[in-house]
Amino acid sequence: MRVADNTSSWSELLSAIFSNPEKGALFLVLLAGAWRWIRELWREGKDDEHHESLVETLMEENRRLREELRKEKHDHYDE
Amino acid sequence: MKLLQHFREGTGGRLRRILLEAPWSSYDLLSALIVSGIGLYLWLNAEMFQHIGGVYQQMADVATERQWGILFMGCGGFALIITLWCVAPQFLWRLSARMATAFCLLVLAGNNLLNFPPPLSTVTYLLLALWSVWGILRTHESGR
Repeated sequence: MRVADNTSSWSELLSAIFSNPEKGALFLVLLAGAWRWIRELWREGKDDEHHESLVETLMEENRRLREELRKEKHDHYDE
Repeated sequence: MKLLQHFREGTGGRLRRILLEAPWSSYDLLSALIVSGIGLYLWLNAEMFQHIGGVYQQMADVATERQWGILFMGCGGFALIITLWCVAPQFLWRLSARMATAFCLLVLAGNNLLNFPPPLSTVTYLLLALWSVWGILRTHESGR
């Protein structure tokens, strides 16, 4: 009964969309626009994440090199 | 097999470049002018729906020629301003301009498709509408 109700409500929605060109057009345009916007936001988030990880890697590298330099200086004074 | 490779390197490759890499401003300008022109035509011909035997009945059921004309001129004008703006507008402005023209072209294509047999202009409107939807999907944050 519930499946039949769902089917009929979906078919009603589809027939309403297809029998009114403006509703169908609005539905399609909003769907395409929302899809594009979400994709762009997702990509932006991914780029930020990538940028952050690059900065973190560079800082870690910098810390490591400074540590090495400090150690070398220390060894040099010991000699 | 060789023919397929030839196609991929030749016409197929060219088609792929046009669809994925070619600048879209020329299409944006064309579609904005078409939508604005149709809007102006509808606004000036207040009894157009009655003269053309029932083809635009679905649109006539929703609004008058003047109302459709104002909507089309608004959408087309907005898209024209965004396309001709001297610097690239923000992503959401460009996306909404493309959505506005796609909506108008889809209404025309849908209206024609509801007739049987559909009038000849259905092919033109349908292709323009599909290209507009493709344009929405190809709008990027960077580039126009």
